[in-house]
Amino acid sequence: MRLQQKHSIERSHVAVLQRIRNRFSGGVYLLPAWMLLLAVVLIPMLFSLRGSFTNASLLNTNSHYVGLSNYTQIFHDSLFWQAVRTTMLISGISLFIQIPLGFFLAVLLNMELRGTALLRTGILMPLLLTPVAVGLMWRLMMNIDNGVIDGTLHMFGLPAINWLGDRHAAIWSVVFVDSWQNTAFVMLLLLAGLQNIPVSPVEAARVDGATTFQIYRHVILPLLAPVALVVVMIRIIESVKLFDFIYILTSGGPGTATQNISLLNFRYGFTFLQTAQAAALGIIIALSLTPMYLLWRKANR
Amino acid sequence: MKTKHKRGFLSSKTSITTISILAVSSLIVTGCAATAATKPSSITVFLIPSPTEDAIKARIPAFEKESGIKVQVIDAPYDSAHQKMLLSFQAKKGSYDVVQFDNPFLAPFASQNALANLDPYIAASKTYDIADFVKPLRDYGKYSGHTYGLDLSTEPFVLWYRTDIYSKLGLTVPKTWAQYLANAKKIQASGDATGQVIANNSSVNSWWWLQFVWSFGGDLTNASGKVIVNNAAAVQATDYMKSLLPVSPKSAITATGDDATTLFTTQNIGQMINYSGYAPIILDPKQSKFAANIAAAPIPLGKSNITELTGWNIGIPADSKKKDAAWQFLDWLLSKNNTPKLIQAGAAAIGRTSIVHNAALLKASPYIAALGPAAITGRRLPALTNWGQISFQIGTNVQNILSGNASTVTGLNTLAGQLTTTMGK
Repeated sequence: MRLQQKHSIERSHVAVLQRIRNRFSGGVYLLPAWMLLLAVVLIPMLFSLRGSFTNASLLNTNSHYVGLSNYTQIFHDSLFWQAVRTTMLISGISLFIQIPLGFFLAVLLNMELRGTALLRTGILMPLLLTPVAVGLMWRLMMNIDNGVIDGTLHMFGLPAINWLGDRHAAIWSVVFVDSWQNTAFVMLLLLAGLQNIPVSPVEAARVDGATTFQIYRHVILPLLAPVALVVVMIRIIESVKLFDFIYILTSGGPGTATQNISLLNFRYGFTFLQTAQAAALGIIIALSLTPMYLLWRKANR
Repeated sequence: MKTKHKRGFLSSKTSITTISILAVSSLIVTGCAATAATKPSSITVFLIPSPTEDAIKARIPAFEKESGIKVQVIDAPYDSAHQKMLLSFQAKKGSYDVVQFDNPFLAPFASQNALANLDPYIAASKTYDIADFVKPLRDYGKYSGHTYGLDLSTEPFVLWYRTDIYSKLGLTVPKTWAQYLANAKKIQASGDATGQVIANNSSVNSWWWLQFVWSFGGDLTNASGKVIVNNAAAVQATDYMKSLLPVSPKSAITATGDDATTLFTTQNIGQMINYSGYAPIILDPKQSKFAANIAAAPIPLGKSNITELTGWNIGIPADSKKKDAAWQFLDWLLSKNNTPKLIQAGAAAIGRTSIVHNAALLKASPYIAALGPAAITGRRLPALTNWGQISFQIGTNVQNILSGNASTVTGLNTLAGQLTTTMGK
């Protein structure tokens, strides 16, 4: 009996030690990743956060603490609110175009009709290009004087449109180019979601006499919802971060018509040389995107 | 087994001789090192990609051969170059010994004591010859009365025009802005070509707008420092820019200086107001369809008799540890005798008096003749530390007006409000 007790105590000690060792070795394995994360994300973020409470600038060698001054200045800047409106407008229209179109293309490819492989390659092609190259390409094509788009309109006797020089057309041009490149991404994720939907509920619905529309409406879409939510959130985050296309296509113009929040952040830092204000705006952007991230994590669980 | 120590490897006499030789050798080596400290073996030059950079690179081997100083070139594109310089100045590690920069950055650099005062070097130089520059060019690199940058190029606004179109339509070089507009209308009406082009993109139009404002008798501020960008002269200038749009290519509303140059060199456009620094592109038959039929002239002056001056500066960072060698390089590169060689190597012209009268250079590049009068009436952009922000505010508001999103008066009132806050006046 005493021997049994002794063995049991020894076993529990070994188990505890094993658990400690496992936990410790897990930490050791993760250490390089943590170090990297610390060096390239956390420490720079802390520096940004600290900088956002100072008057640091590329024009000022002696910076000091200014409290929330940068934040209040940003909230009093009409450019900020205009950029927020533009960001929401571009994000909203982009989502409105990219999600239905991406879903339609995913359904089309999921049917595995003849020529699907060719269609898939064609649709994915824009995704492989770098955004700067895409911006430059469309900037040339949208040029009202010698671009191919207005040239084609002219061939059919239609009036030319100043795609990049007109306030309203410029917003649509940015949305169009963004959608041209990124709808394929939406399609890809939704296609993966569609292909993971179990066959049995769809077949059961079909046996029960549901039409194709009803199957999509009541079976496929609810099952696809978690993936769609992730796609929507990724696209919202991406469209808030949108910079390359706008910088290349319109530089935020005409006037400030297409200046979104990311471009304004660039202006604060690299045109106005006000690095502390840029840091503060960066923090505001990060904080405003945090709910998206949390929702995304929740959806992933 | 222990190793036996070999005694008496060197006799005492030999030892003394050896030590003496070593001591003398080390003294010689130390002496050499001392010489090397006074005359560095290399300097680091920060340049910005441009025809001028290519020309400087082409001249460096001759300098290295003459001086024995190795020149290491580092460059960065215009969009990030000045920010890199500012960061390096704040680090104070002496990363660069010579820096090329655009004139609007003179004030931000000099105001934080990031550049060395070049006045003592200029005064002591026997070869630079500051008297060879007219006053606006002597002042071009000055901030608070001291010179922090030498003139690396002189690029005023000039009138670029098509000699074939002018001749066909019987036009003459305009002396007033009204004549310039009238010429544009005649060219447009001919149906053969577009009237004119300037840059209206919000990122650069402040340069053009300020030229027109000056020409119509206005300015950013009055003598007491009050912002006056919404006064009658500014309204007239802005309306004048608007009146040019119907006789411009349709894409001119979003055109940068580079875009305007591309339009002028590839499409039938009668005239253009743009910097003389574009000459290497405009007059190069490989890049310009109409190179043989393009000439340059001074711009119409208007009420103020002012021509906007731009161009590169080059200076020595205050944190450079090799300032004397850096000056030796600059003095050699930009001396009165060597400047023609730099221009012949492809650099944008420098408006020295001896250059604008240099027969050989004028024969090769006739546009240089327009630099003389432009330099005399020249005025650089305001030396303001926050010019980047001011230029952005002008650019976006003027483009709002030009694209019809705001009336001239409303747009300029908005601009005045923004500039009053930014300039603290």
